[in-house]
Amino acid sequence: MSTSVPKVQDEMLTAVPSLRAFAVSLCGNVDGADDLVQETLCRALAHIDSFQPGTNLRAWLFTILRNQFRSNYRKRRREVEDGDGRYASRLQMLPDQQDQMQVKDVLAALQQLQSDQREALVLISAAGYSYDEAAAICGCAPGTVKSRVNRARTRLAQILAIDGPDGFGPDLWFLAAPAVSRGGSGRPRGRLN
Amino acid sequence: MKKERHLGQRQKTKRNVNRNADGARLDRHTRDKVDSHLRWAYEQIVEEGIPHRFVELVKQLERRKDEEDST
Repeated sequence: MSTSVPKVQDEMLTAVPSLRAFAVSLCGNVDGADDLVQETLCRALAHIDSFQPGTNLRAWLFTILRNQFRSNYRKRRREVEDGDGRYASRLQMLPDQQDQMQVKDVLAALQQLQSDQREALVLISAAGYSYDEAAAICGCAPGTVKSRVNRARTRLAQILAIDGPDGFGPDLWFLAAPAVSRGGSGRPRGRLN
Repeated sequence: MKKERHLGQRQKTKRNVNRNADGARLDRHTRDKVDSHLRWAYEQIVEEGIPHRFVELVKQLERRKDEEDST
């Protein structure tokens, strides 16, 4: 068993970037997300004996993180937002400021969704889980996940003003980028704080 | 009998249309665009890699577990 523990811990570390991305999607800010990931790792290692080797460790960690988020959320009864832009200021590897603004836009839009719809949409559309896997993580039926994802997509499309090929999106943003660098006013949206 | 078949056909047609509970229809292009936004934002965070605090944390937890196991 002692030989398998280090391997599991290495796998846990490998899963950290995905866990952080999921946590930021749920929390809306990077500090809260990092605390959530830390709680998840502590709980996972404390209950490592309940993990069955050979099963999906990443999905197990996602389940712990999701349950921990809901437990914390019930305690606080309030959503934490990135009102002061701390997340955007802490993104260090983004290529330019337009990208920071857009990540902030997407995160802010996600925070406007119901938490069950948000987690379902992120698991399916961003994290790449199947409906069955997402259902196992969320503790509900695959049909429920499909319904939540559909509602969340519709709501997010409304919030981000995505409506057909001319809607707000990376392609339009990148097309506008040269105009911005020349000092033009080709940006599809106004400057954000 | 005829009525039952008619109802069955209606249900099948309804299932094929992608509508949400609010009755709004989302076309494939919009769905793909929403998903690409999400994936893009998600990948930006994933690309930040593993912050050092988590490497330290896992090492600490590993040491603590080893100590507990040895006592």
